[in-house]
Amino acid sequence: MPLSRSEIDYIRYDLRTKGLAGGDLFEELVDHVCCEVELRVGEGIAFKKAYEAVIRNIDPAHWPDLQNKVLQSENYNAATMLRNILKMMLRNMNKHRFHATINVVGLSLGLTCFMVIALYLRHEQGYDKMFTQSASIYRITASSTVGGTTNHIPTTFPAFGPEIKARFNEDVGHYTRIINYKYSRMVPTFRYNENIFYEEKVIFADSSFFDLFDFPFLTGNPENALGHPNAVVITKKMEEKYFGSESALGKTLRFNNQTDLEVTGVVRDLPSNTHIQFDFVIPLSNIASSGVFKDTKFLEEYNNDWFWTYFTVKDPLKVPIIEAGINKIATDKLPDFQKDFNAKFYVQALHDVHLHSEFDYNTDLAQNGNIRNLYIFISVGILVLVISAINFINLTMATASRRFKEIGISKVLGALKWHLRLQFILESVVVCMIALCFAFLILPLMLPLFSSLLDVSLSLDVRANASLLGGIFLFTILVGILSGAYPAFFISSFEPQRVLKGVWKSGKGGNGDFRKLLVGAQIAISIFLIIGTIVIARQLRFIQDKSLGYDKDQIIMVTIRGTSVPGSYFAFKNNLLSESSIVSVSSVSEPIGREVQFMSFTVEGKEKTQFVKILNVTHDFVKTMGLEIVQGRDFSRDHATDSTSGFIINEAAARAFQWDEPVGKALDHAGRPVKLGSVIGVVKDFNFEPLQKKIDPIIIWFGWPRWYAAVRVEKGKTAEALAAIEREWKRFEPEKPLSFHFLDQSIDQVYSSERRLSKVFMIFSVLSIFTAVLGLYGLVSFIAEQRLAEIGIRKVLGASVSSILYLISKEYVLLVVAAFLLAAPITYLIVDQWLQNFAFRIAWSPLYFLSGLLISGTIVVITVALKAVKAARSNPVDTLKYE
Amino acid sequence: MTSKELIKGTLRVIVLKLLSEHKQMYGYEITQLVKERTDSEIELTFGALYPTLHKLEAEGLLVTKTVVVDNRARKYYSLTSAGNKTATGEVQSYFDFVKAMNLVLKY
Repeated sequence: MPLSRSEIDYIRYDLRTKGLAGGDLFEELVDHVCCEVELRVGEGIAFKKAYEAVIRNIDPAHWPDLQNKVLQSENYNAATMLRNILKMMLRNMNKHRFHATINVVGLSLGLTCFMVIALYLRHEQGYDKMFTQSASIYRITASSTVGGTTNHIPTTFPAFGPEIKARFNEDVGHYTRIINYKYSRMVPTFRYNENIFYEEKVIFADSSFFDLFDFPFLTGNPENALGHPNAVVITKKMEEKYFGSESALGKTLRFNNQTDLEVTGVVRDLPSNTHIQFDFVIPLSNIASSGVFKDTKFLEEYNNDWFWTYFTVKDPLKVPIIEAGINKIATDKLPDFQKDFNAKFYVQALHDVHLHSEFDYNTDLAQNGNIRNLYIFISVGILVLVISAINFINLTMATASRRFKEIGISKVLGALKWHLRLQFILESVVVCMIALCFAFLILPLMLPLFSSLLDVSLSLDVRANASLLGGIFLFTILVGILSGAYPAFFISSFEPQRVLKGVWKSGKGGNGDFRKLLVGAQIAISIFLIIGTIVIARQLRFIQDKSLGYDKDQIIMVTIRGTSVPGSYFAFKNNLLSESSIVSVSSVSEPIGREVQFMSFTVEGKEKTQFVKILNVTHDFVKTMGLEIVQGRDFSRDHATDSTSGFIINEAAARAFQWDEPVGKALDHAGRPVKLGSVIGVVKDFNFEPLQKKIDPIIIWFGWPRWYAAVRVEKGKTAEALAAIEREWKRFEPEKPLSFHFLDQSIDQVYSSERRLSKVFMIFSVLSIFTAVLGLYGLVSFIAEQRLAEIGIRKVLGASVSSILYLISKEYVLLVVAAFLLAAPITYLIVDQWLQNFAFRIAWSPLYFLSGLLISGTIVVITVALKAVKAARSNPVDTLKYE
Repeated sequence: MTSKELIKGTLRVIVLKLLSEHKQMYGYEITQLVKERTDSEIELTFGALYPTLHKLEAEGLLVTKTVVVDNRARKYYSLTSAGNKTATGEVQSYFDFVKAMNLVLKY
């Protein structure tokens, strides 16, 4: 029998008083109770009694608990929750498009930069690791100390190879010796039919070369590619250069116009991160074809130290023993050499070659890296990432307070604390992921740019860089969690009524200070980068403009070594001098502006043999280079003895030999039995080596023209001069092409790694300033918005626009000053380290710091003012009417 | 009376099975039917039944229809097509389980 309406209402009322909240479930329970009661009433029990029995049976004290349980089981649906959070996020982002864009753009820029730098780091760290045995390959290096100067070189005697194999047969696997064709200081030619070119990257190596360095072969068999003397292995690039689309295998290349070499293999183009760089490998057994050695007997001797010796070691623990063994070999075989040069030999791991080598004379197979520059790159990359992460955290934190109302309402409607926390954290993680996606879109555009800038080939190989990508991914999530954590844990724990009333104030207390700290850190980093950029650019400028003591412009250096020009040098020179476009011609043994070799000399007043850097020149060197004679005279045709026993020294040499009156002092090459030489002139110090080096003593003496011809050209007549040189070249050397460079350009090239650093610094400081400004703008616009009411009241009470501008920007100016005080000393310490690389460097000037402060200050003030002016100009009626 | 723990584990199957026999049922009806069939051996409590029903609904296995009966709202549950499939599957796996349990316990 159905219950009456009043009876049902009674049940409803009673259940409410027992603590059940209304809703869907409540109606369901009412129905259930009613059914139970109806059952009992049907059995003849009175309504009241029946109801009480039912209630006793099902004990409503648990009901609120039950309601919770049902709510949770209904809501426990991750997909729905995520969908809701995503929806809220998109609405929020759409509502605050401006801030969302800043957030995403800033972070993705930072991530992209960091990834580029990280890829570069991977590239540098991956140096020489592509060989199967790379971890067990070592090489011998040597140092010699003469007259207090120690020189390190990576090349040693060829006989070491077979000797260590003989003495340490158990521990040493293969060895291979390499000699760079450059040792002859010539540039060889290769020819196939009509195609004849000079080639820079030519090496000779033992036939075991490809056992150690297993470069992948495209054609040919690596096992016996260097098996017979007249073989050559070339790279794919060379195959295309000489043979076009034909296959090179089995074809013949004419080497130096005198030897025929058969191509026995083509290897894939070498990766940019190996220091074993070559285009051609010729067996050492054919070294005679290089024209310097007659046969291969010297390979068993200790006469010249031009060989790289690489070998594999089975047990790395044996390396110190082998190193000691090599020094023992040297003592056994060359006791005098060991003593005279204080020579020491070392074993260097292949993995250390690129980043942990500092060899003199630029003697390694390829330009070694500089770990200091690498550290600078990495730190700059990290700084940019930090700036963008700070931006993100800062903006997320700041804008979260805009959502107090949303949070309050959510809480009133029954959202649990952890729901809100999850919502905030998930939100910022998702935004971070969006930024990461953007970063991956930008990356392919940035990579070619940086590849050419850093002179390496960078590519995003997902499989090879899995750990890097994983790291970036985790980092992005971490930034998301960190920036979401503040609103998640701080705001979500507020009492809803406080949040809704807006009791919380912005800009006051720990939170505002923390944000300022973050902004301050950003500005400090930017100041560091600005000052760094300025100093590096100034130093490069200084290098470019510094008077080197000679006139590097208008000089063409013609390489004559290895051609038939030296044989008819004087005719060549006279023909050139008859041209109106050519001022003067001289021969010289060094390309000038790079490192120079030593020789030993006997010096008047010094008992011991002196090791002094030398230049071999012919007449007119002083005139051609534009040097200044301070005492004595230049080599002269009137004095026949000049060419046999005359020496010109620089002021540094006079100082080093403690000569007050250098002219006429006895000086001679230590090897000569009869000492006749004397000084005929002193030139003013000039930078014959890179500016990283101080000016050393140098002896200039007369030597037959063999290496370079320096041609001074009339200003503005370079083209004519070049045409004349070309014409005369053809006359004296019909076979080989002309090879020349402009001296100023080749000097510039010496500083390419510095220039690279400068460019990277520049790009990153622009990026970091851009990111920081973006973040600052976002933050200021938010704060101005928050203080609109305050500004309105101030205006009503008579404040002027300028006083309000001052009010808003004051603290930012202070922040810039504080950041500057923090950044300036650190900048000084770090950038000065870099400057110490140069013997000739700019002096620190307060102007650099001042411009750093001014630039950052101006940018900050403009950024703040842009927003503040708008706020200050706003009509109080608009801003106040809402309240 | 059967222990609460055992009912907890099998409630899902019970609800699904009963709903698969009937076009639609409401909460009280389910408790009554179970009581009747088991001769009062199993009595479903509120605390177990309603969360299960709501959970199955959230999973998309049940749909509800609210009808006003005798001056009060009554919520009927019925299986969706996905629910039907699940019901067959879960009943089958319950029997498999019982068979396995028998093998273990009667050894």
